[in-house]
Amino acid sequence: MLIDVTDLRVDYPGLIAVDGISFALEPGDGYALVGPNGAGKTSTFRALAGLVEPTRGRVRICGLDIEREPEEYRRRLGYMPDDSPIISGLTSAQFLDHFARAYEIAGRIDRIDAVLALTGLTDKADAPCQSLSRGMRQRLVMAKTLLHDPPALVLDEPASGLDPISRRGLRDILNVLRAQGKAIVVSSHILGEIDSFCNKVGVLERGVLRASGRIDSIAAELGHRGMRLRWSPAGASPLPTLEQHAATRIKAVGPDSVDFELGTDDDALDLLLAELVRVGVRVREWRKTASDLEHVFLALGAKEVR
Amino acid sequence: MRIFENPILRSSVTLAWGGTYRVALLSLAAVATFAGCLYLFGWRDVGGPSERVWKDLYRVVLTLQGFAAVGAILASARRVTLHRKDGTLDANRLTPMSPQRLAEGYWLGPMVGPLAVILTGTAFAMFLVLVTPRASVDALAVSQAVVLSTTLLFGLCATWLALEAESRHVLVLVTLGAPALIAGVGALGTSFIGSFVLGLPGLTPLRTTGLVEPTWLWSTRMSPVALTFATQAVVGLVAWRAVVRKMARPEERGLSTGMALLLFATMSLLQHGLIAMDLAEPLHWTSTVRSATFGGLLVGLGLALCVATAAGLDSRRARRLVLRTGTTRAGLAVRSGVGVAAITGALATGLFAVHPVETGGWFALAAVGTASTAVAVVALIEFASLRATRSAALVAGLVVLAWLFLPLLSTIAFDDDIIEATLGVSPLLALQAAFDLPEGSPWVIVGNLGAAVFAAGALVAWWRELCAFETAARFTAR
Repeated sequence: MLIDVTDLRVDYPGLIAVDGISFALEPGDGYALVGPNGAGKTSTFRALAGLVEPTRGRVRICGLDIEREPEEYRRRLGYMPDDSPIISGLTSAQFLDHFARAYEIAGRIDRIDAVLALTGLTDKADAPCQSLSRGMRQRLVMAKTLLHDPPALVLDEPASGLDPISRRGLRDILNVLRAQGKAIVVSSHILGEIDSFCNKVGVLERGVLRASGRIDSIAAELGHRGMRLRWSPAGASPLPTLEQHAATRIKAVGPDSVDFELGTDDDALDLLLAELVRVGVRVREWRKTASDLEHVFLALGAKEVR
Repeated sequence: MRIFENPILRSSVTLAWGGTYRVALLSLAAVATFAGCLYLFGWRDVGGPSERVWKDLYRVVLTLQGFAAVGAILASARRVTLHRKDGTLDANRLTPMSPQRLAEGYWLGPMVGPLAVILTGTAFAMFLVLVTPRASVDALAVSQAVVLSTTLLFGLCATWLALEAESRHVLVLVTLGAPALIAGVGALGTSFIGSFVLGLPGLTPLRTTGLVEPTWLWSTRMSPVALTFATQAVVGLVAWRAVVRKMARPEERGLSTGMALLLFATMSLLQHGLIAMDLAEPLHWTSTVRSATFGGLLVGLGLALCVATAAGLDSRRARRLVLRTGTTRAGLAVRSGVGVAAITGALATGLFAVHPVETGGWFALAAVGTASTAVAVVALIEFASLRATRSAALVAGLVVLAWLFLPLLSTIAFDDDIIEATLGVSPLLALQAAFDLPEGSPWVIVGNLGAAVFAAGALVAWWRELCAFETAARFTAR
């Protein structure tokens, strides 16, 4: 296990922020921790980073315990907080050099150049940190997080403040990192994007994990997911097929479109599409009206997510 | 030198001056400018360097260095507070840097500017000594060493306080108020250990170019400069341990019980040593000595309160102890600040109560009453800390301290007659009554009775809260 959390509990005066959560990640896993504001995501992340001492429970990174081997633990963990801290007055390169020295990275100049290139900040190397836009600061802090090439990454709202192009860049970076065998725990309010780079999810509400596991498995367990089909009038109508299909429930019908719910997994979805094509439906659009993650989130009744 | 490889220190140098070389160049330029101005506008008019000119100019240098020392306090407190707030401190804590290395960086980093100013002053003072025929090299060396050590100590203590403080207002109040209060109390009497912590006896070259007279420490004569370095070393060691502890585990109190007791025992014993010779000679029992004794006792009790509170238990730590290590309510009580207060309070009063002072047994009774008040105050603070937040406990502590000490300070500052009028307000005044009222005075009894009732009430409230807290913590863990 790269990341192993067991029965984690975090208390603040008068509040149990996180209450007995457990999850484990293998190399290449992307775990999305989602939940409304105040659900305990940041407290969980801070406990993972060793910034908050758990009241109870155990956190291990690469099998290491922060109490026993704090330095090795920190070398294996990259933590990106929600509020990107920068050091005003230093340039981007100086900021990274500060942390490269702290991590005692050999060949730090080359490594700094590499992470600046990876995050698209090469031309901002000599720009003062405080002059960077919020999105660029996020990328700079991401560069700092990747500086020591940690096998386990904990990213709290990494897409916050990023424009759509930067978000796509972030998604690509995270998928590359997963492909390299790193384990990533991430939180975000933008559920639709998370499942493009995560294969697992944990839904946190009031400090308790209401569901945790593979996204597709949980979505299937929870039942219906929303779908939209648009077709060309030149072909056959899909409505008879959908009405005959036992697992579908039609929600709204338009002149050339239909919204329906399907209560099974991805394989059933593929089979239904194949059947529609076979009966002569000319499909123009076939998509989920909500991502799997949104579906999981809404099905569990969690609130206040954007 | 590994210290110069410290990333926090290096970044601080970059931020402060744009590089180490620029600091050196600026310092040299400043010294050269000082020297040139001095020659052109000073010595030429008085016919060359003289002892008077040396003393006057050195006074200016020391004043500037004093401002730099205050600047060091503010810079250290500001840097740590800002970095705590914006998350940079956490970002540094996430790296493999050891707590010692973090402490080193946050202690010395913000002091780069103030230290550059102080060292420039030192260079200028050395220049003055070299060109002035009767200037004292020894006095210069001693006073400059004290300036440097005091500034470093100020920066370290400010770093510690900034790591502890929950509120910026409290931080400013304590970092600037505490040295002013210590200096103010020090001005009331010469035998006050706080003056040595501030390095004041080492700065006598302001008045004379010679070295200061030795002082009594119990029955031996000791150099005040050595005593200054010794007290600063003790406070510095405790502050360093506290900063390292806070860097490693921010949720813990800075002072461990052991360090709290070490600090208290050392300072209290040294304070006692400073006035022991006077206490041993009742014939020399003048009002000044009496003030010093009383001041010493207050120092002891004040320290007892401070260390007990600083090493005390708050709800988060208590909950962790209960849930992670299965600590019982008795174990919590042992780890609390109340235990520390009991030991330190007993030591503080015991040291003074054994002396055969004018009022004899009444003095001892009043001292014991005052010690029990110290325990009660800490119990009250811990009660608030367990029930509410650490900030609420701090406010409760400040209110109680004000209640105890303000009437007393007002009597010292304004009119002794107020003592009798305010006696019922503060149990600490029973002690003052033991000095000023005839033996067997009802005021002493009233004061001590008040202290006893107050202590009993506070201890009962604290113990009940501790039991309720332990039960609740175990219940929620199920």
